[in-house]
Amino acid sequence: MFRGLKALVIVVTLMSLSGCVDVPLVGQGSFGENKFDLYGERRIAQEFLSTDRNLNRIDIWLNPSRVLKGKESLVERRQALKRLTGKNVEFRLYELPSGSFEPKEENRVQTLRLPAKKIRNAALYKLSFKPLPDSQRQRYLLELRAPSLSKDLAVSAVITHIDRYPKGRAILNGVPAARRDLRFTPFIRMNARMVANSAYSRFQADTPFTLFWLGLIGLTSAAAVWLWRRADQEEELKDD
Amino acid sequence: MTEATIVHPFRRAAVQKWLAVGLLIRFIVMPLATHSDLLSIYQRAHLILAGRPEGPNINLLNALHTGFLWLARPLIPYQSLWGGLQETTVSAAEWLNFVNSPAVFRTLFLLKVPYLAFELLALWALLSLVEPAKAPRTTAFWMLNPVVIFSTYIFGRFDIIIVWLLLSALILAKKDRPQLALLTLGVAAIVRVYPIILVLPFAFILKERWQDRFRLAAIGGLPLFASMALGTSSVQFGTVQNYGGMPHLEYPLAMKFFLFGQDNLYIFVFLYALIIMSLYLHPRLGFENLKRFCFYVMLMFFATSFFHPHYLLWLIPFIAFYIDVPQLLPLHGVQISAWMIYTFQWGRSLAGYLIASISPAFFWAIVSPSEWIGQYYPADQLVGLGRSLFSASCLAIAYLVWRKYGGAFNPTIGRARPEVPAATPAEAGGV
Repeated sequence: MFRGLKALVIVVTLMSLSGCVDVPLVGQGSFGENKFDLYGERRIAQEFLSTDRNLNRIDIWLNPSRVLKGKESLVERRQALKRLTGKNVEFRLYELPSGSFEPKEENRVQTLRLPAKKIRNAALYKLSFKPLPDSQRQRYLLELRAPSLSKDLAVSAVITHIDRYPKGRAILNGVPAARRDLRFTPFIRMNARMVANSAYSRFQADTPFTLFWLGLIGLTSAAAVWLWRRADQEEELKDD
Repeated sequence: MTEATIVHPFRRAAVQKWLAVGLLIRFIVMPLATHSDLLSIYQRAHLILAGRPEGPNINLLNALHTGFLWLARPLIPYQSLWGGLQETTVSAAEWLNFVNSPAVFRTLFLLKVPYLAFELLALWALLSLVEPAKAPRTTAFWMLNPVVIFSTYIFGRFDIIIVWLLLSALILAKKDRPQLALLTLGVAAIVRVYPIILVLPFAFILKERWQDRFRLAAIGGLPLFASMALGTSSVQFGTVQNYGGMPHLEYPLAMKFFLFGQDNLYIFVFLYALIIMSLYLHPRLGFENLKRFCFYVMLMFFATSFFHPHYLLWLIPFIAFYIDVPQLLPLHGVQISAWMIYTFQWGRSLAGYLIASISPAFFWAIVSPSEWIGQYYPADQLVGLGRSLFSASCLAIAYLVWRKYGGAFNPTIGRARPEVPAATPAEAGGV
């Protein structure tokens, strides 16, 4: 019994300390199916605010290349995929100074490439990078482009039909789109220290209860120690 | 009279030290953990307090929680927590709002205080039923038991009230008040329907004559059937017509052999019937038999039925009666480990979500054990393996108790068995 409890405590502690949990900041869910094709010079961007440090991942909904549409047989799909070989969808992440949505090259913090042939289903695709320690309260611009794809090979991103993300907006080919957002989810990597900070601030929010609770725990601990000693003494007296 | 028979175990330092350690664990856990079910039951209480006509039925359970909430109301930011809630169950979004609220720790602590009071009553009753010499060990077993802590303070379920009622029924039976014992058991069956399975063992063991047995069984079934007739049973939908549709009634029928067409063999019903028939063929009387046969029935229930993890609390008092049986505690350890694996099937709701109040974003996102294991091995198979191990441990525990106290057909059951003198070296073939 005690071993089981011990094991549970160890597992929970290790999971907490490992700092391996990607926490979503916001999610657009299924609020729209409007496609935005990516090929040639076309680009779509989304500005967003990272509310916490350690921004480390962005999930983006992508639809596979047009060339794969209707290709059911293995042979056809193979041929289509061959045409996509060596072609990528490029993701650029920029830091944005306040009030601006124009990306500047010196503010680019990440560039990732996803091979177009890997986008085989309409799904969320995970773009991971090393956590950005200074991301707290920082505005970013995520830009997607696919210059190596031609129109018939285009893949597409999805934009919402409502202003699902009020802290930012989608920018289509450099033009801000009102009440539209890219379907995306940014993540931060939370480590044990951040969890501890979060818990601390939550306890701080209700100081009277926290003081009462800590006092209760202190008193019960003292009582446990005292009773333990008293029980030992009684046991010794009985033995004598 | 010895000192032990005069002083209640609660007044002994050897018991109090475990009580203090157990309380310390509870106080630490109480404000930090919960399942949305705790919020749902208090949500129903809130609707009753607010006098909403579309609210839930005022049954025993809801009435109790209404009282608890009324007591806690001045100490929590009531309007901001409950003002917007309208339904009798809490949605995921409402639960997230709740765990994100600044007063979540205070609220969780206060909403569980009544359960702590019931737990102390249950422990008091338990210690009244065990020999005084076993009291410190029993207290340690109870206060440190992960199932008790999980069910009542981590999951935050009210099953401790049922346990207290069960133990009260046993005390009344021990004091030769069978009618009251059965009535108490019947009240427990209103709160959760399953204690109804103990009515027949109680009736068969507490009385010898058939007329008396029928009367006792009728008393035991009366509260539940009366509440069904009045449409205010513990069923949320509360009507007799809907009672048959409760998924809970299907849980004991989950393990079955399909024979042909509509012909099924329900394993729990089969084993339960065998136990009752054994009591019919070989009548057993006395409190020791009552404890033991109730234990067998509960073990068979858990071995063969689908159950929610916090139900396991019902078994713990019965395990506590037999902790001195050799090898029982290690088997109980196996049982708890297997039960932990069994809980994996509920995914995140029985993993990170339980302690989401500490850091909602983190524990909302953390993967559940089954998701993590699922990357390497089919999680449903692992849950099935855990379940199989759990059922095996239930049967093994039943066997241990049966071996220690004699077979079901041994007329000396419940009496102290004569000590068998140790064999001399010569008898044993030594020199």
